[in-house]
Amino acid sequence: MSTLLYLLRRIVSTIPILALVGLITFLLIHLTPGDPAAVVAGDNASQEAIEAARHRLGLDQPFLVQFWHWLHGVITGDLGTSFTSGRPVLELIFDRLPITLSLTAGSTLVGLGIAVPLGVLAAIRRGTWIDRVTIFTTSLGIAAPEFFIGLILVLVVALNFGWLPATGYIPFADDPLEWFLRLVLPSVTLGVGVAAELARQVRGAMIDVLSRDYIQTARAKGLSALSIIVKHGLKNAAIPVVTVLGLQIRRLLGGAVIVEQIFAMNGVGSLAVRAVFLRDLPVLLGVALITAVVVLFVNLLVDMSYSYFDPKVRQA
Amino acid sequence: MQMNMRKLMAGCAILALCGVAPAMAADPPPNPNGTLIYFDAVSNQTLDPQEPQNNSSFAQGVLMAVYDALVRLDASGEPKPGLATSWRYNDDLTEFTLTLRQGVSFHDGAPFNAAAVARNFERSMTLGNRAGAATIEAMSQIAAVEIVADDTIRLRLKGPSGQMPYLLGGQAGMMISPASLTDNAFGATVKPIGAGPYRVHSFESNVRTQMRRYDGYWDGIEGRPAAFDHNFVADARARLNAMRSGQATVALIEARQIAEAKAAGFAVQVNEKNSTWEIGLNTSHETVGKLKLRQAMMHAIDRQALSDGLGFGASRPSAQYFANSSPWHIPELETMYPFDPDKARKLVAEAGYPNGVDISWLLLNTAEYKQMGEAVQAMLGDVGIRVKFDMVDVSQYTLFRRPPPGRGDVLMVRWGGRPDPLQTFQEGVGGKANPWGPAVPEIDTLIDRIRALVPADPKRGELVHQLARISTEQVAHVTLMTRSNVYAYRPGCISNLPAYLPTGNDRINDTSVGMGCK
Repeated sequence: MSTLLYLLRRIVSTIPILALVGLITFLLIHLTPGDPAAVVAGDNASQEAIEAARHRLGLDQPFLVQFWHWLHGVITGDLGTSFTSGRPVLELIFDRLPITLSLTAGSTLVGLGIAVPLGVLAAIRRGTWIDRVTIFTTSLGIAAPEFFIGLILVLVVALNFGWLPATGYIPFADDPLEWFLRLVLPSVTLGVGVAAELARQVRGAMIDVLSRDYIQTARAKGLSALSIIVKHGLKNAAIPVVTVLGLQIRRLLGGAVIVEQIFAMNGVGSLAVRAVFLRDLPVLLGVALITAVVVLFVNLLVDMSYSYFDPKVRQA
Repeated sequence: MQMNMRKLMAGCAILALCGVAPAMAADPPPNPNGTLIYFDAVSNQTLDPQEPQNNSSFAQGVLMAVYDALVRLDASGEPKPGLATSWRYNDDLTEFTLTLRQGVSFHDGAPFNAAAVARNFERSMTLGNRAGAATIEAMSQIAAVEIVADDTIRLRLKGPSGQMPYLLGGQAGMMISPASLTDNAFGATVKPIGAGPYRVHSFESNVRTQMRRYDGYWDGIEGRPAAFDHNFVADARARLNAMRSGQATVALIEARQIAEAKAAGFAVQVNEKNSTWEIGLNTSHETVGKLKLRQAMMHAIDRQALSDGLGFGASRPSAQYFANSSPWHIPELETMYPFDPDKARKLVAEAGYPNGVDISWLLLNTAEYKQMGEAVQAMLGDVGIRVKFDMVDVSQYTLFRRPPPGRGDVLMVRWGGRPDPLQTFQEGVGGKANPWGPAVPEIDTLIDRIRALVPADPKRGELVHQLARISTEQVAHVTLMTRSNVYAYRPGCISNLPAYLPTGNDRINDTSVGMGCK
């Protein structure tokens, strides 16, 4: 019951945050030079056509009235209609969300798949060449921008060896194998940075945990090294790692914008980029709102996971 | 005969620039079961031809595949029979009567007839300001639509206009099935059902349009593949990568990628367009309003260097709107203002600026525009014309048409060409569309005279040439160089992709995919 109450309280507390995200986005777009009505009226439109478009879109109304209309729509589950395509914003985002979520999930898996074994290995071999190579490669991973990694991967893996496709996205329902194959390179591109950040966290946390008394006790009890690392080490090292992983979600959503361009994937990132250029206010607001919801949801999951990893948190 | 010779020369010029003749000779037979997978740099928000986002000259590729127009403009832009087999004007050009092709059906089986055409016109006229500029321009000239017979329709015009064949060869003449034109249908709510060679199978806004060949197409299906997938990929590198990894049959690439594409073993085809890099001039401003300063700009710009440095073999230096391949190109205009910095400096001083002059330049903040702008800025700076950039993005495009005082003495656009050469002058230097009025009143006078002549009238051609001469002589605009569409494809994989001058796009919907090509 207390968990349910906690969840409810957290969900309610996100409402003002989401409203604030909307207001700030609204404000920023209004402060940016540019005229959405001119874009909507199209190439070579007359001033009359531009003014007609402005009126039709409600852009001739005061700022606060426009914001209220949008907020009212959001409360009733309507994120509005795209200025440029004329389609409902929610529909546009949900059409593209599977692409970005597939990419984000794939990158997280790549990140975890590399970071956990590498971090643990570096921690248990602290001070050896393995540790030093890990520190060096993770530094490279953190420093290397996504566009660089992506272009190198495309050049080598897709174009030189022809092992994987260079561009595009195929929905899982259409062809699961092709869906997987097309996600490999983008996921690795985006996942490398996550892996580098996480590996350092895993290493640090594991070094800390492995020096604790209860690990010494476990060793004294004759438990196997694997059991000590997995059951006692990793679980206790998880809290800082999960916290950083939660923070990486924001990085992944941001990085997806670039990776989607490199791999010609039309996800939420490319939708947002186009909306910025075309000043498609409802789409931008919708993307900002949905992104904020995803980030808040992930934060909630991270907070919830603390009680799993550390019973003391549950009791508190 | 003179026009035919010009067309022949234009065709030769295209081939010379493209160097595609050997590839064409080796074209394999078309595969009727193939799929044309095209990776393009331009997309469509909706498939409603009348929607303003589709007004761009560069957004016509899919529209031309799905919708046939009443008039078909040939590769050089001449009006030819399309869904209308013939047309005629009355004596004072206030009535335009079209005879419609019989036995044509839309993709949904609905018959194409006078009632369908009338419904399309009524709908476009009702849209008013919501429509794109090309449709507004055409509909603003129509007073009433009258069904004369099942295969004949008459447009009563508000005044004399000889432009209708050209205007109905573009978006305004694209016919949509009446079943799609329900009340208030517009943009995304219009079902894309036309009478063109391909019917829409699926459409994702700004992502992909999958089309299937329409086997009932009135002009036959010979040479057409079974399917046509149009994919929008903004990044040029990703488009070429898609070719390299076998995901695309043909891709639009950037000129700077020509060497890379050739090195990867692709055939590269350069289609020179009636498309140019243009500097528009605020001739009402005290600085660029002076002819001598404008002439100084013409002499200050080294077009050959621009073309060599930024055209990568896919551009030519140009001092006029029309590319060498166009029948409206006038060779002698190219030598009117040779690159001569000394003469330019002298003209700047004679214009009243012995210490040089400052001008404001509205510049779009894309890499392509900035690169070109900076190169020209250096050339103008060398003769004492100091350019200060005023950076804007695409959503500030309205500034390009109505720059506020103190901003945008000059601006630069990538001009995509228009079906009617007159439209080019109307929109580029004429007083109606040009925010600053014509450089000299004679331009508007000529535009009005040409507008009242039909395309077939030889006098029209003479006056268009006269207008082109005056525009260049008076430096009503500064053309920098031509631009082309550059395609990459596997040798022998693609055929029939000629340059199409009326729009920024080529008619890729007429392209064939070779046997054995993926």
